[in-house]
Amino acid sequence: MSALHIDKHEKRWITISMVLLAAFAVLIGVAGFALGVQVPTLEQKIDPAKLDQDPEWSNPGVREIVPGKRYEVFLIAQTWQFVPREIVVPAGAKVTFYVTSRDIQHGFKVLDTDLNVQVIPGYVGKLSYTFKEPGEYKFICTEYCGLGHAAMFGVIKVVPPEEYGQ
Amino acid sequence: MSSQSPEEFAPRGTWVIVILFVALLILIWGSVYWMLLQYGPTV
Repeated sequence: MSALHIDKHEKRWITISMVLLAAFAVLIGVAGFALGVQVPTLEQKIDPAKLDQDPEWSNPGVREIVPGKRYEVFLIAQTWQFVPREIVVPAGAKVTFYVTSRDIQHGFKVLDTDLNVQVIPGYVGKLSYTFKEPGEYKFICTEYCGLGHAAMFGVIKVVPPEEYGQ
Repeated sequence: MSSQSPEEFAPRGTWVIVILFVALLILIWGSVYWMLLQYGPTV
């Protein structure tokens, strides 16, 4: 028996494990590139000390890009709150979130969705989502940021399109 | 007395363990994957 001999039963395990890994990799590719389930990106850099002087960040909140179809949300995380704490968007519209931190590292996670990003001071996280069903979607800070961390949450109110803006 | 040499020995039950291993991996991994797909796209 040579030093490189691999038992046939061990080969079977190696083959099956490799096939599984390859299948999982393909499925991850399908989810990411064909079905749009992607990891959020850090879109740009920004000076946290100058947020109030920035025209987009000095007044965070919802921006209507295409009525009923596309919205942008500028969200600031800071100890220990999100600004704004309440967001209202219509159901069925694509909502793009831009999230940054004013001070230390936070997290932004919308419960029961794939929306989840580290909020790092100096960077803007970008992620998009379409809320298909009306309802309340809570978001929380997922990075322990001090004594008030547990109180750092907010809510996205998704309303029927016909009720939006009333 | 068995005529099989140690190299020819075929362990019994290997397939059972392989099937359990594969089924468990697919079940655990698949449940998370399915959850991701249910939440919908993020781009």
